[in-house]
Amino acid sequence: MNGIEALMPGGALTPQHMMIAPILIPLIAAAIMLFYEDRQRKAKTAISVIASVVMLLVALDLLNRSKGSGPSGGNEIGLYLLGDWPTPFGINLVLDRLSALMLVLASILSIPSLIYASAAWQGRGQHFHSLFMFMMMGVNGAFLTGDLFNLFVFFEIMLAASYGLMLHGSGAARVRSGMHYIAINLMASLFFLIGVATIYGVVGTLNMADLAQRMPYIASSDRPLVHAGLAILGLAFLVKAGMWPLCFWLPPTYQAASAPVAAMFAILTKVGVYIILRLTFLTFAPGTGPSAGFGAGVLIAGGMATLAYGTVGILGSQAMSRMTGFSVLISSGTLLTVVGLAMGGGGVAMLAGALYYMIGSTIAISGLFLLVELVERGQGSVAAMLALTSDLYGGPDDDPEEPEGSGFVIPGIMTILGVCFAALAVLLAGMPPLSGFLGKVMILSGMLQGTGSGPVEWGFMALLILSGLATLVALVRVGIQTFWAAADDVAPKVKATEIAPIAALILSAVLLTWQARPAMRYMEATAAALHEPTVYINGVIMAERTVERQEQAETAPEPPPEPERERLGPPAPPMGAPAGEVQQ
Amino acid sequence: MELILSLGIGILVASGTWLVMRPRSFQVIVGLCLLSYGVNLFIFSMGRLRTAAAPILPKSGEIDPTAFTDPIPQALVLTAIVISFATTALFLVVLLASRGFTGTDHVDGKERQ
Amino acid sequence: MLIGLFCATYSLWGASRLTPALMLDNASVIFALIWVVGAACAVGAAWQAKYHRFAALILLGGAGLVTVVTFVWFSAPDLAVTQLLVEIVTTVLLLLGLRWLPKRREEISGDALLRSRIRRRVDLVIALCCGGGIALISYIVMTMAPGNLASDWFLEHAYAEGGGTNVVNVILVDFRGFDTFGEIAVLAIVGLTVFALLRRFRPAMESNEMTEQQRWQNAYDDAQDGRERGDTVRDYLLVPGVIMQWMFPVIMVLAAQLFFRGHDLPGGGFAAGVALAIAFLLQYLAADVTWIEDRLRILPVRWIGFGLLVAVGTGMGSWMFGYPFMTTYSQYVRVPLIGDVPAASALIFDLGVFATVVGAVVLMLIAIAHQSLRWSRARSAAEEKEDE
Repeated sequence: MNGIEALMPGGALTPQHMMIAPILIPLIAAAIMLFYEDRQRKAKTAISVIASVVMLLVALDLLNRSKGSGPSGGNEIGLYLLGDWPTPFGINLVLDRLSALMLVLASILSIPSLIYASAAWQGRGQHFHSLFMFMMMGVNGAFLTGDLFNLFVFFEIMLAASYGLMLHGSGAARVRSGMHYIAINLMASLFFLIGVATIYGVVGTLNMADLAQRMPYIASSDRPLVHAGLAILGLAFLVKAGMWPLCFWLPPTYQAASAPVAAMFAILTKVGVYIILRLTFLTFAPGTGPSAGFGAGVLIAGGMATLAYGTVGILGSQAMSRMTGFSVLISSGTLLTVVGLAMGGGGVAMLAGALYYMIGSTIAISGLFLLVELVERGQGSVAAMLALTSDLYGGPDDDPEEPEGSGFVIPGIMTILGVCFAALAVLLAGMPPLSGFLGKVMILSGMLQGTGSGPVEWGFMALLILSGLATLVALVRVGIQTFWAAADDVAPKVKATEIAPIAALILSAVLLTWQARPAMRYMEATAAALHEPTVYINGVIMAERTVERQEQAETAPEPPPEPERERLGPPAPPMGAPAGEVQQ
Repeated sequence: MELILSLGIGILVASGTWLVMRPRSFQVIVGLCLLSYGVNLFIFSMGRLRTAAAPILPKSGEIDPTAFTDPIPQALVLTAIVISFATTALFLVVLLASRGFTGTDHVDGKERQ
Repeated sequence: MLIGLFCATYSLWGASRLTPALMLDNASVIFALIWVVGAACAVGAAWQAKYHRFAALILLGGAGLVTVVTFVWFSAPDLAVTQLLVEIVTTVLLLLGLRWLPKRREEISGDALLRSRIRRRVDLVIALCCGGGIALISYIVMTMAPGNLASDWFLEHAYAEGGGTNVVNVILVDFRGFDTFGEIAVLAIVGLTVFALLRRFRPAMESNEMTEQQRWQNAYDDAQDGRERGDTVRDYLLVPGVIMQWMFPVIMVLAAQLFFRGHDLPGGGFAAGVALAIAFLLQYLAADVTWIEDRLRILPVRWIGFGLLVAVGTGMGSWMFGYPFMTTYSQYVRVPLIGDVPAASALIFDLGVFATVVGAVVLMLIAIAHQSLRWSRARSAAEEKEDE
């Protein structure tokens, strides 16, 4: 009994309902796990890993479908009307290339984290797997929803679960930085609500596509209010994305979180970036009337400041986990600046490069968080200290640790860890031959060709290269200390289930490099689609209810095929099979 | 009416914000509660104010939409109330845990001199 | 704690007595007066929160009540009910939490320092800016002409297609049911997190002592002949305790009523769930924890799981008929069932909401209530050691 039942033949999940599966699978898995005793960890691990694998398969299928069919140039959207209510009134889920990409990224990160957690971390607190699945539900929902308030709800699911996971394992350091994390995010949520409410009060809609459609026609006297609402809203996402003056919480939080949790948190900043990307390109895209380009300056300045702060921070930190926290900031800073620059127009190639870079850097950061804990385990530093405090405060009714011996200690572990570390460092620093390098090159070349070469562009270029160098210097320094001068340290005890996830993450990054050409084609089409929001908007606005379609089918036996080609959702048959062929 | 309510919202938000920036965790909690009252009222006010126009329809007859207040902000506020209640409760417990670990109710875990 | 609860319930009754009168007397003067009180409460809470936590809590309750009155005034009975219930639970949670905070020293060194004084000024300015900005936006929007076609659509379709006359509830369980779906997931997550966190929580040592009141009472017992130590503690507030136990079935009925009338009148799964959770909570306050748990086995985690699965199952049920997730059934077969129970499939969804809410709220409250159990166990162990 788990999420997979929904996929079985005879189950109700036909292709048209596939879109909602990334939200329902983790929820069902989480709810089922609540019926298990906390000690049945093997069963829970099995359920959540199976659910994640199914999620990955669904996400890949959705990715394949989002490529769409030939005539429209691959820029199509899939739509799912919840409760079958017509568009601006009900809630809808929207699948386009960008959201499909993010879904795949999220599930790629989740499987290694879960397997890693099954080695030890899952036993250090209650309900780890349920909370993890709830967070996946929130993340996937945030990627799919097309409604602002529903986005808030999924944001809260994601955040509430992340509070729980952040505190997983307890301990003084974790609780203290968890408290800051929660306080800041609660404030951000309130900003979110104020922003959404203002937009509703002035424009009268909560649907993103409907909002985008109405943007050019808003009376000039109301426009400042809408801008204020959107700015307040944006603030909430920038907190999540970790833009400079709002990011001080991020490194300590990620440092204090347990390794598998921090590895999964790598996606959370990307949720912020995703929503910024989605909303700015819907509402302020080039050529959408007087509001076009609103906030671009803030994004560019903030992004570059974040980049600079991350660079200084990574050079100034001693602990490896803290460095990884700062590299999260470097990654988001780069993305935010690119989004800001692309809003000026002409940045398709640059944006495509940034998306490619995002996938690679997120995977690398996630892997590094997992690796760091293994390395620091041998050094008796932060992680060991945290384990010690949790033992101190652990009470008589705490669970006994999982018996040792599941998995075995690998010989020559430091060498393996060192190789993995080197690969991740190369990825993060953007050195050839891995995907980090390709991504950065494509960002820069796209920028110089597309948006011109003013002082801002040159400044960004310098910062981007500097940050890469700083990452390399910092990681090499700490790497030499750890892996070459490690004679007096005891080699850490590492289980196979802990090293395999890291290897898998590196492998997926290598795969991304190896398959760079098709990947880049996908990213380019995605960036192009973002620059043409009308397809998204029309797709949502002209959605057809199931009821209406059935009524049509009753009156006219031959349904007109034309309007249905625009969308990938309900009328499934023409979509499923041909999508793959067109791609070849 | 509108002026009074907007002033009220302003005062709630201002006192809430002031408290949230205090270092004592209990102050922060009280501040968050006040802020969420303010924000809930703010969302509610986005539907404009109507007295004696509760959106409860008669069972029969023609429905005149102008006779009722806007129900959407109310639905949004209901969801927001629940979510802010949940997160406030969570924050309270984290505060207690932090107090257990650090022995102080200062949010930084130590008294600043 | 109990006194606090009585205050809360008393003010609840007070509020419900007050509101009809206010509805009749529709003068903005009264409204202004109410908000003067509300503002005073808010500012007072901000003022008092540092040293007089209990006073701040009561003032906070005052501000909350003013919010409730505002909701009633401007035609939002659902909001008023929910806000009131949530406020009671929040107050109880805060009261339970207060127990574990350190005793407040009257003056904290460093308060008079220049730096912290400057910081407070800056914070004050920021706070005033935030408040002013929000007030400005809300004033402008409220005085703008409403031009919402969306709300008209909801009002027109609520009964015809959603099958309920309480439009707010129909929006919650049907038109925007997916939001509610997410909302119960949030509650479930928070319940689980609180539970997980408190399993490992150790209260600070100084809070481990008995409360002052309990010490007095034990001293009284020691002084009197024929009384065992601890008798008074046990008998303390016996009568209210019994009353609270009797209230259990009453609140159960109230919860059921709130649940079933939800689709047509103010109420609904959430309000009913919180009401039932309060009923359980009262049992915990009235008797001691072990007594309750000998008699009443609640498995809140199962409630949560059950509720979520019911909600998902209801949603997926519409796939069988070829409709998207969460399409309600009453929409297609417009046959009202016997009596005035609206038999929309949304009602089953609401049952899921109800179960999850009960589970999550009870889980949180029990997790906190168990702290004092564990604490007294730890203390008696320590006392035994001393005796030896």
